[in-house]
Amino acid sequence: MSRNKINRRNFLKAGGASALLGGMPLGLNTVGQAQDGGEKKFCFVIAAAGGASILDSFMAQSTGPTAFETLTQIPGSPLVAVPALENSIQGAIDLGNGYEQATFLNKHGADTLAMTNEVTSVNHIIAAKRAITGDNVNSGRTICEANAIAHGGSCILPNLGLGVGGYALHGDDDTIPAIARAEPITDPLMFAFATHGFKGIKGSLDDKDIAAARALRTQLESVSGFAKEFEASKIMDVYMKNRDSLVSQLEKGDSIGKLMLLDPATADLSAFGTSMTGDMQQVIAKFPNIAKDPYEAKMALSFLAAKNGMSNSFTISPNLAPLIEATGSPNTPIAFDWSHVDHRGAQNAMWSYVLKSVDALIDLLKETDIDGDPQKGKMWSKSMIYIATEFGRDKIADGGSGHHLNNGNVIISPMMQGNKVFGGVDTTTGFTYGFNAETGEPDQNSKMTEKDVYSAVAHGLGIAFDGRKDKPAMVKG
Amino acid sequence: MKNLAILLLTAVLGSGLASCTKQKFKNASSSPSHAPGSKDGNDPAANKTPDDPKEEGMLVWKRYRAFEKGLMAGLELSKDQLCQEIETFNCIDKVHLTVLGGNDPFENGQHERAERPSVLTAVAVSRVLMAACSQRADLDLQAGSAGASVFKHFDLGAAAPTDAQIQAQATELFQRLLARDPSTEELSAIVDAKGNFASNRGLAVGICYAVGTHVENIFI
Repeated sequence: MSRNKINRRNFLKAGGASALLGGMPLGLNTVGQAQDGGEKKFCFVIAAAGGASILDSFMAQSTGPTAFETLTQIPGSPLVAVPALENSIQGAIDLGNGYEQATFLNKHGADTLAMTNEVTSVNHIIAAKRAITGDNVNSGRTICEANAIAHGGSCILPNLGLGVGGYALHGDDDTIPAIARAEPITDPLMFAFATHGFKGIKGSLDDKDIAAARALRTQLESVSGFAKEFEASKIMDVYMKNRDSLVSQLEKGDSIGKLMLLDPATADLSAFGTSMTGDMQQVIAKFPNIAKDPYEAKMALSFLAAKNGMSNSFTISPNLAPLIEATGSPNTPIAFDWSHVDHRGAQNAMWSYVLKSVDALIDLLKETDIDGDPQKGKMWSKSMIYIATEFGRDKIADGGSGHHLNNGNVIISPMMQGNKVFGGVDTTTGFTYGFNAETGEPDQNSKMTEKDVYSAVAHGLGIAFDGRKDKPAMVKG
Repeated sequence: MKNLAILLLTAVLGSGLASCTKQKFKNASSSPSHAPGSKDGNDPAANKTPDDPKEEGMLVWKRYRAFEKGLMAGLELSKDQLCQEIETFNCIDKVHLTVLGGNDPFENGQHERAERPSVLTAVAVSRVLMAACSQRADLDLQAGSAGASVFKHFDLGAAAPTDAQIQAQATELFQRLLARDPSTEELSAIVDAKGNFASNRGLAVGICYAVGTHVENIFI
């Protein structure tokens, strides 16, 4: 079902196409203001890479092939929690951070929902991309690209890419503005350096000389035979427009000083004319391991970029390498896909690993005003967290599990109808089934796909597009 | 030993996770049925030859390693001298790898390189050139006029250079970084800009930066 008209869609497409060649911030073109008046909303896609089974978290079962001996019932909620188990990697390394799923639900259950699905691929890369594009339900745009366009109009770099594998890929809609594409980040601790063309470099020219050098470059390019020969080249044109319009804006915004996560105890930043972010104490309180855990660093950077108005859309994955220390590892090798070797251990440890970080992120969003303006409300009030994953796992309780199309997702947002399960589980088979999109009632004859999951998230964010499969039962208001 | 075995297994499974179906994915993504502009749509652009040499196909992004090697050779700098953030972290291999066209499959699970420069590529290019040109200028300043290798056509710390000296320095930088001589128009533009820089060093580094960040050094 669609509530959108074709002419609106075409208008948006045209705007996107016209903006493709320009690197201007979205707020300067029509696209970013086309939906919901361009109101800023935040979308955090937490990419639970490897296949996170909904039956090992908030839709866990006490009977059937996936049955747990002990589950924690949350009073007044259909959501259940699996206790943190005693896990290890091959009996040699203690595994898990001990975080209880019940802790998460007790804090954030009112904003948390689980919805079932049956996806269309058990191939990691393909399934991951479908999880973020909704199997191309929105012309191939990832949900973060769509959110950057719809709600990132005031952000200079709206979409940050911190995912792995298929979650690190951009969508298939080549008409979107270049700036809406996820900016790939190599190292979150040092990403701040990537936002300024010369600050922090010893011996660098000063502002005046840099301006003169850049003006000289413009002069040289204007008389260059090469530049004239390829003046119709899109790749060069986009590069030059991004360079000439965005670099100075980024530099003026002092993102380098706001996003720097390097610890001055190990790096003498003052010697290079820069310093750590003024928000370090706030993020360290929630992400104390950013120096050694890249996933925490990604979460911290995403929060800082959102808080400081630079970005509104984020795709974030746990890294695939275990963080093995003398006390053990909080995460598994190859994330949730360690389930091939040890289903219960991998799922249990990784759900704790992911949920603990999401808990911390929500705490930060709840205590922080949008754009630092109390009039705009807390960031959490306009935030959507979608725990994406490629697919489910075999319906088992012991041993290793293969990939399975049948699964579900967790979505957390005050804009959604929380404290609910949409769909159900056939306890004899362990297979999930769908629900009525209008009423939310479980329906054993229906199945939700990637298109439905994407549409639910988009619906909650107020992102309109032709062909959206609306989920009024899931969205508030 | 068990740890080593686990890490090895991680590497094998991790790379397999990406590579075993890479070709299938490419096939799938090459035909986005919903994407505007696709040949089954009504967009006139669909009829355009995709590799029109003036539009796209003939220009190749000079990615991180070629970019790095060119600067190292042109400015006679070692890999470590070229660009290190806070003198510690390599700009090319670590901090700015992805936006310079690389990818990190092992630690970051980035199995694909970006198809084209990203919004932040120009920032990374700017940082690398500023670090490299500044480093070369300081080394040449220390070496003195007899020992300078790149900035040798006028004294970086003395009186204002003549137009002929500036043209000679600019020609040297064009040859080293763009592998060609500058045109008369380009030399005039550089000479005309000399008054915009506060010092000889600023002028020398500024010319180096302008030539090194020129689109001709980003695309080939």
